Amino acid sequence: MNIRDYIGKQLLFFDGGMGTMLQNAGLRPGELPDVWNVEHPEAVEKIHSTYLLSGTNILTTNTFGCTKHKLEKSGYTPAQLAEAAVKNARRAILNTPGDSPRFVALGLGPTGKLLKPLGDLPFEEAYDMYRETVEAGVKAGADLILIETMSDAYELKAAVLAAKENSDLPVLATVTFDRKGKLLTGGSPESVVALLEGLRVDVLGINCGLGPKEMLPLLDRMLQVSSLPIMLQPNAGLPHEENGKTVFTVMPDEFAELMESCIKKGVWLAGGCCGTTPDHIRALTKRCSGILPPAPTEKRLTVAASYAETACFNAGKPLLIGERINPTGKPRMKKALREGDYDMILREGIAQQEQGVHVLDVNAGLPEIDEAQVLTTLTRELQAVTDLPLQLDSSDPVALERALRIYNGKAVINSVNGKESSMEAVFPLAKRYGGVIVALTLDENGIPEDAEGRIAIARRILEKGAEYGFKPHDFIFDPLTLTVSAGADNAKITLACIRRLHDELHVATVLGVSNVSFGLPERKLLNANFFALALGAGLSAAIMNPHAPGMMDAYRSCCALLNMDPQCEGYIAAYSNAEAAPAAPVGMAEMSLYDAVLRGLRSEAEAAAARELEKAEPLALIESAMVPALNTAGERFEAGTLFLPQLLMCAEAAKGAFSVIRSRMGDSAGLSKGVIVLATVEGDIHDIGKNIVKAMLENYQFEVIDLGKDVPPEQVVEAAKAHKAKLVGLSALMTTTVPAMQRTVELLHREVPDAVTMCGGAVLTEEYVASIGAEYYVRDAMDSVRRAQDVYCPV
Amino acid sequence: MRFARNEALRYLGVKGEADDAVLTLLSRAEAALESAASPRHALLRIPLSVESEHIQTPFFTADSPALAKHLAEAKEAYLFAATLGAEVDRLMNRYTKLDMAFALALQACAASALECYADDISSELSRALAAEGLFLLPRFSPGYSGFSIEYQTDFLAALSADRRIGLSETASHMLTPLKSITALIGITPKQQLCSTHKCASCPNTGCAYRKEP
Repeated sequence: MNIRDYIGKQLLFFDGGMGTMLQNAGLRPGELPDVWNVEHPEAVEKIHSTYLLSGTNILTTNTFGCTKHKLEKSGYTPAQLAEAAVKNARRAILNTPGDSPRFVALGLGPTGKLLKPLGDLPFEEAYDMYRETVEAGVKAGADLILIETMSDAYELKAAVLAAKENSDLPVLATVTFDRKGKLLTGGSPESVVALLEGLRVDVLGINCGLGPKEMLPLLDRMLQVSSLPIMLQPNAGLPHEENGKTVFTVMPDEFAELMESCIKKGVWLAGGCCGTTPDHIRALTKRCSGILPPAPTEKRLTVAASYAETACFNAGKPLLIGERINPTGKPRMKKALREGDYDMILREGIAQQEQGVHVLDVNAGLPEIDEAQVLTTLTRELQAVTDLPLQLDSSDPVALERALRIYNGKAVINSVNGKESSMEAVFPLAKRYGGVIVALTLDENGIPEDAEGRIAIARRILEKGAEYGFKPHDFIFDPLTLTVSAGADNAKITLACIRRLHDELHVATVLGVSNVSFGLPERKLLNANFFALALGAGLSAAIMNPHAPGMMDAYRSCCALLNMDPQCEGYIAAYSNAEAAPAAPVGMAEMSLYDAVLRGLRSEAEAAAARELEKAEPLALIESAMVPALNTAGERFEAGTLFLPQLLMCAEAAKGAFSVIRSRMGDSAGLSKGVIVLATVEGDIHDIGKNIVKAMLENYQFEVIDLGKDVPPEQVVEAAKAHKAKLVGLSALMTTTVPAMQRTVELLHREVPDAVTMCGGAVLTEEYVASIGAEYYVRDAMDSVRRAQDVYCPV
Repeated sequence: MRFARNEALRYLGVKGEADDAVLTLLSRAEAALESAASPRHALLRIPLSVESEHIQTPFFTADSPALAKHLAEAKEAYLFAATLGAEVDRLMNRYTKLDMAFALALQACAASALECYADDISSELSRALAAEGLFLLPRFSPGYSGFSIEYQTDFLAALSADRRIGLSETASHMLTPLKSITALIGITPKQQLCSTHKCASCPNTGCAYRKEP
């Protein structure tokens, strides 16, 4: 019999803890449990056998730590141990009498490393680690794969992909929450369910970390949103220490009683984790076998997720998708994308989040760039600074695939349309990586003029999607907005489509609202009012500019008017102070640009820059106000009367003012005083010092090529050559990474003899820097500005 | 979460009275950290023996004169690890792009909060040990004078720190998330008079962050 014939049809029992059992059998502290698969197979088999006799249906192999990283010093490969582990479990089943269905689950645990960008393990390397174990386990005869004790969504995704892409076995995945219902790296029951259902696992659930009692509220949250059978493997309560030993307090009978109430709520696979023993499993199976849990129901949620947050498109309240990360019509963003200067784009993402959008659209479609590479990098970079779910927006299936693969969560996919070619390109990607699919109601013949034609395309997309296993709630339909200047009925047709998609097809809808006003004056009026009408017609989401005047007002007003803002709380929070705000006192002296920068007041500096630009040319303003203010701040810092936080506040104020001034100058080329490559050296991940230096150098109009942290010497050399940098700045915070600085300096001297290096970091000394051959030791941020001036603008 | 303003100001290099702008910045940073941080720790009480420069435990052996001297009277120790969690790293990443002054303040306040958190756990352990007539030595971390940073690997493995508190290391033994520590905390039968401050035993006397005696 196949395990698939049992999952979700009858209650199945997993085994309990393995670690404690191995310790009782003689595993020494510090010894790797996985090694016992080869060195003490009879002991492992005996533990499996004891669990089988307790009523276990599914044995988990002793492979929790079976990854390359954890086995490094063991002398074994993950494949060797996984193969032996599956065989031990198989042998136990063969040699233990019993007539209930019995299976072997290949267990996969965390890699023991944190994935990039928070740690140093690349996503694809994590994938490869799991792939090796999966391949060996499948070959040795595992019946299913259990990914367990995962506390990082990204690592979980790597493991699930590795399991699904390298086997046909059912994949079960369980995660570990803390008491607040958070994964160790952030993430909630809701975001985990969205991710795992998107990846199409067979079963999902919770294990380890908590006892059954503490898991109950988290189980409830999972049951609320999951359409899949749920699995639960709690610890035997919360552990505490007694005489230097970890002790679990929930005894077998209590465990079984608590598990019974979980099972009756909808748990289809039950077992135990740390602290549970064959006695716990025996009590559990004795008490609970025969119970038929309530069947999982289809929740029909149109939900996207980041690693931590979810965005549900059919939960009542309409959602906002920020459209600003898109180069179309934005020269500065085009330039940033071409040059790989992502900071400006990341700031745009955060700015939209602060305005209140729920999802960020990410589009990197420029003809002259490698879109797949840029969209992937941008996705990764954005996810390092924002927890909003992303909408990956590309017409290039290769770019979509690569970005979807490394995306941490379940993305919105923008977009598919009614053309056969489009559906054949996009549907397999959504099936593989999960995602909410934006579907445009156009096809080979263009956009139908009437609502009927667009609804017909929507139906066709749904039919074709069903062949790939998609349900209507996996889509958001965009019936397309055409400008009213080109057709008097255009807006009416779109609104009719929204209503019909909602009422007849019961699907979520989205619009790019601002197209409605092309070619007409005062577009903001038409946009905001059309947006309000669409919301009234039942629109689920809008792709919009949250900074555009009137749009957020329309959104908040409609939410209040349509009972989608309980007690008008959102509306009141946004506007209660609007009337009370006093007008600026008449006659009060306005702060000068010089003062605003020196006092580190960013918004005042921006306002002053705009004001003073009315009277002065940009370059003159820089010379008369910006440079003197920065110089004064720098001198006070060097004299010890002003400290680093204030210096950086000045830098931030100056940055704001510079961006106002630059916007009046058009292209800012010609302002740069010279290119400087900055990097935190290989092995070192502490980059605050380097980032401070960067902020200061940029203020003094140096162009900084920031290579980030943990940068290999070769990459520094490559960047110095490519950008013809005369100065390279290197930072290292830890004594252990200082030798990497020496290697970098040596390679630079060999390969780029014209470049000089400046080195800084808390553990460095002038003598050390001299001894490794670097030209300058810089003790702080101002010092690095002075050295840059020495190199590029000698007096 | 507990913060130590004076420590944060020391990390920031602020001498004398801090002005209102800096204090406001620190208050904002503390509030942001309060909601982002999930302080977690892992502990394991282990036996150890010290012979001249050699330290032996069930999980590792080490030859380190400084650590051996530090642990001379100890028969046991706690292996200890603590972290403020990955969300703090994300918060710092975010503000590095937006507002460097605030990012710096976050950095300093997070460092002070981590120290406070570790100190609070040490105090708790001290109180519990007093009942057994035992005392706690100051924390000693991999990477401190002559005790190689490579021991992070053994510490993390012994504590199952990745699984229990989400703490792991990079190939060069740096802890991730960034705001994390590991340490060995010796347990002794008699109270030892220790250095008056944490920096006193560090050989890097030129360090910018060294505490005044």
